[in-house]
Amino acid sequence: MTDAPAIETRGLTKRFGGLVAVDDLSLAVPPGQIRGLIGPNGSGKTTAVNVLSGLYRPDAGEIHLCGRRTDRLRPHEIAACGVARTFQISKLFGSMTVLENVLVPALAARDRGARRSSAAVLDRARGLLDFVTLDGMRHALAKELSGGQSMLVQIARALMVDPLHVILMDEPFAGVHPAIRDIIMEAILKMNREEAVTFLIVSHEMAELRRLCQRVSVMDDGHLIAEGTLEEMAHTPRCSRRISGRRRARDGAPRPRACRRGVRRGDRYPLGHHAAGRAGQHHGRDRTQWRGQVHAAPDDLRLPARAAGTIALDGRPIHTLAPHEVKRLGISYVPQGANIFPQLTVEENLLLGAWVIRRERVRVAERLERAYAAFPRLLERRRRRATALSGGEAKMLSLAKELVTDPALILVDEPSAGLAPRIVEQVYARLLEVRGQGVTILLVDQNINKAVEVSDYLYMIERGGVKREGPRAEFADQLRDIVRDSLLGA
Amino acid sequence: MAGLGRRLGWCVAGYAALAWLPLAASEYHTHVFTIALYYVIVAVGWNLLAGYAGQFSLAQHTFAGIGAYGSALLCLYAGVPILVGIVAGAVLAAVVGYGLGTLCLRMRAIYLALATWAFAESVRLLVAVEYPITRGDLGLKTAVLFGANPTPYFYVFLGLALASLLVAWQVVHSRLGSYLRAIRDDEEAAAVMGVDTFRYKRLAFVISAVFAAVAGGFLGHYIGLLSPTPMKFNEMAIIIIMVIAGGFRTFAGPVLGAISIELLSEALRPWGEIRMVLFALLVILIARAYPTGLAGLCTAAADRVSRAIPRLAPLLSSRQTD
Repeated sequence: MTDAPAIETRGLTKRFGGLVAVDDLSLAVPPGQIRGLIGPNGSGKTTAVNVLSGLYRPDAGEIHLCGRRTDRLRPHEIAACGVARTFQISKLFGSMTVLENVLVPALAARDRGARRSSAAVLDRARGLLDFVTLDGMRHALAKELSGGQSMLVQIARALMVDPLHVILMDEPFAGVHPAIRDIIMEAILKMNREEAVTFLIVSHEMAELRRLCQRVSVMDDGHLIAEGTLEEMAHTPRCSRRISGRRRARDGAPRPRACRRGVRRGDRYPLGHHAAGRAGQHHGRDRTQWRGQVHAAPDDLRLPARAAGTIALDGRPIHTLAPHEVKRLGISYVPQGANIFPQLTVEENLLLGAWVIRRERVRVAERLERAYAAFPRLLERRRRRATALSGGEAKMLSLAKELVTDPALILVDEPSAGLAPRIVEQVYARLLEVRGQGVTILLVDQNINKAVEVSDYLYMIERGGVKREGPRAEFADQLRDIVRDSLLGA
Repeated sequence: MAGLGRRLGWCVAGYAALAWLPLAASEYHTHVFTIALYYVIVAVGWNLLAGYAGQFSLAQHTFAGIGAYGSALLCLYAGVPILVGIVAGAVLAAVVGYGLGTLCLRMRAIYLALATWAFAESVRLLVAVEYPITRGDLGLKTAVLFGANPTPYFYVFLGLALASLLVAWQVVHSRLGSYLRAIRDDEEAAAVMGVDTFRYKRLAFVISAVFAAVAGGFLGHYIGLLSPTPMKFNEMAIIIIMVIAGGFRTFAGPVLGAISIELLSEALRPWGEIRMVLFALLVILIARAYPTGLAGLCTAAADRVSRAIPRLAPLLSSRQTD
């Protein structure tokens, strides 16, 4: 390859109606570099990746990828230049097996005249699946995989693009188990080392980026505001605030790492329980009980037709109820992906969240005010359609929407996945606040440290069953063992 | 592969049974089965496009009409041999399908359905209105291939159905099949992995149009009289019902669906138009209770039998669905 940057944009701009998502972005990543792209939620990172991979047409500016001008090319033509990507949400081909998924880019490469033999392609596919520990599952259907496994397959699939020069990754670590994070990082470092693949990684996970990236670019409001090593960024006041959401401490010394602590130790949690684990069971003060497997579909607490067991709330079986009846009982659900109504505005979403209390106007108004106070970003976007929200903002709205009804119990799945540290703090703070009001929270979280920190009682789930459970104190002491065990078990 | 061998065994057995039919059954029943085989071809083509590629076109019956009228008109006005006319009709359908695909396939789901529906209605009206050429609703007489006895036509359609199944099998199990399923599951992801989604959707569109046109061409030269009536939406509805009842997105589904619905339709003929109501109820029932249709039902039954009688398991255990 030449010395020209592997990824270069000049004056790149993308608008959605009145919203300028990417504004005059000029970025240059030399070949063979691993570059982080960071910034607060809604700063335009995902849009930038979508424009780079050809899913969106830019409104202005130029893109050069691997020495070719690509801003007028269609996605598959950009892939043909050697550009692959992963998505934050699983975009696997659900009805196909893992192996078939991984083979799609290689087949497409063949049609373009790539010379690899079938045996070589299959070898590479199996090798990559083996590297991401999923070769044993190659005949499983992609829709049956967990979130972390899906990400691994997405990465293996991206690595099958041939030729391969650049990989764009959107939040590869969001909501992913620590053991799987390690595999992802190893895969990135290996491909970078052995095949000189250039990476652009959108992420909020500073620890991972610190290990991977020589340099990071910081975006805010669609602009590129800074570029350099992560350490340099942390010492640039404007950036550290953007990255961590922390104002500088009074003595003027920036503390970028502090942002990873959401809740101060020593806070007391007087009411309710938090539980952690991979989908689970919880015995709270209100005797909410789950027995058997909970099928955690976004809108449906009913057990799958052929499963055994019962789900009871205060001793009353609820697994036969329809979703809206469950909601009326005061159970709210905040799934990992945001469950909002994209065509409605932010405020309309919140009003719909308040549907069951719609006749109590004063209470609704007061709840909305409280939601805006907790998430000021939503107030700014109040009249915007939810489609215009970034992933993080959508998540905030999803949570705020469920909280307007004062639920008795909230099920929260991976609240911090894909969120900027500042927002993570807001989210956990809000959860603790409602817990303080006597609401029971069942939290599903990969972020073990965080889960132990905020929960009163924890469950650890493995292969569909409870592996261990106990009050927080026990888990906090054994945290290291737990993490090690779960790594070995993964 | 053992699974393939077993499946092949079942297919050969099925075909042998069908090939025996004209010797055992009356002319009327042979005719009914011939029509059923016609629907097999059309439905298999549509399942490739709508089931595997996820492109819900509502113009499949129109392509059968284009094949039939194209061939009949060429034979009538240019005096070409029937087989040449049928091939020309298929080519015409391919060209029209290519053009329609180019126009419509960038649209999403409901818009694609609406656009193809509008196209289908336009073609039907055009055929009805161009009276001097097509003889409109009076009907166009066509040259027949073998005379009035249905038996030779039955074997022609048996052969065509076999050929179309082989082509469909090839498509589903080739690169194209992978692309089509990938496009159906997630078009954006397929595109960024390097798949030229538009091109393959259009290819699927053309293939399914050709399936319909070949079947329509032969049918025209069997029935001997064409009219625009079978180009009404009813006909498309029947095709959809067949595929859904048989098993949407399964390989065997359209075959089982086409044959059973056509037989049922004949059995219910005395009921007249009420049939459509009964079919609608049937489809609702199947969609509610057994979304994988008859094909899924067969697989489930085979599983149950092989669990009850393990000795039969090796005969039955091959999966019917894709």
